[in-house]
Amino acid sequence: MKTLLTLAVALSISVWTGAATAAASGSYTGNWPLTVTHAGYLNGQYCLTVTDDGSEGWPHSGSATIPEYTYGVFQVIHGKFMADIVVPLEGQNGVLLFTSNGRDGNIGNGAAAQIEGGYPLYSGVMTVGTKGGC
Amino acid sequence: MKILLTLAAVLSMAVWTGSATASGSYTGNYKVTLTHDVFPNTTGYNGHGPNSTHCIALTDDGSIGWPHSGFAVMDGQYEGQFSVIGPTILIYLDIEGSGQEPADLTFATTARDGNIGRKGAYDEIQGGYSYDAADATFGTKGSC
Repeated sequence: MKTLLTLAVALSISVWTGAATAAASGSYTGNWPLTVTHAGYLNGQYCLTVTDDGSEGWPHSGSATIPEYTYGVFQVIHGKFMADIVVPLEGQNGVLLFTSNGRDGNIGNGAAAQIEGGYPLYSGVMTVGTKGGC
Repeated sequence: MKILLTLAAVLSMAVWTGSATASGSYTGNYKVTLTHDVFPNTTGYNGHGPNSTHCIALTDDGSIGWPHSGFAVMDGQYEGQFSVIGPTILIYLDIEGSGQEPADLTFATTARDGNIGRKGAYDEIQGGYSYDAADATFGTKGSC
């Protein structure tokens, strides 16, 4: 009986630790400093804040905002991080897209684009800083 | 002998440069399979559509401002453009949204030396919002 109890406790600790580690290492929640270059009007620094709660249908997905625009979503699809920030415009809204590789809660360097009326009016290189850096 | 060696080195560099340029083109047809489709329904992002397969043709002529960029068309009917920006290829295809507004089918994946990464993402954007998303698996150049 003692052996069984010990085993059960050990298994319990093991499962809990595993789950906690996976959740902690995999979460994208936080703020990310982004620098966009070679994009004309879009050039500059952005602070992207994401909340990774799975609410957009993908295991890693949720809200995404920047201080200038406060509606948006992000999704990690097939290892690709995609953040769509709604850009309010007269008539139809535009979208500010930030995309890169996304893995284990980390975002790589990638590309940014602003799409209006179906066309990417501006696009550029996106360099990602350290999580929590803005 | 020294002249011969120099000539050989120059020729070698020329051949290498030429190969790099040729292999860098993204022009061609790529089969794209969409799976694990997710879209919002009345209960949230819980809608799931069927898998589908498409053919995207790219013409890499630098015409969109990036060294590797140009015209894109999917299934011979949805036209748009693509750009390789850093390590990422973005493909945009113009469609008509559910409210007859301009909308986009956006694909993103890695790209390097004329090769498109197999595992990519698909994101249909309407009115600034992600309306539909799926895993996008790219075939090799000439796969459709």
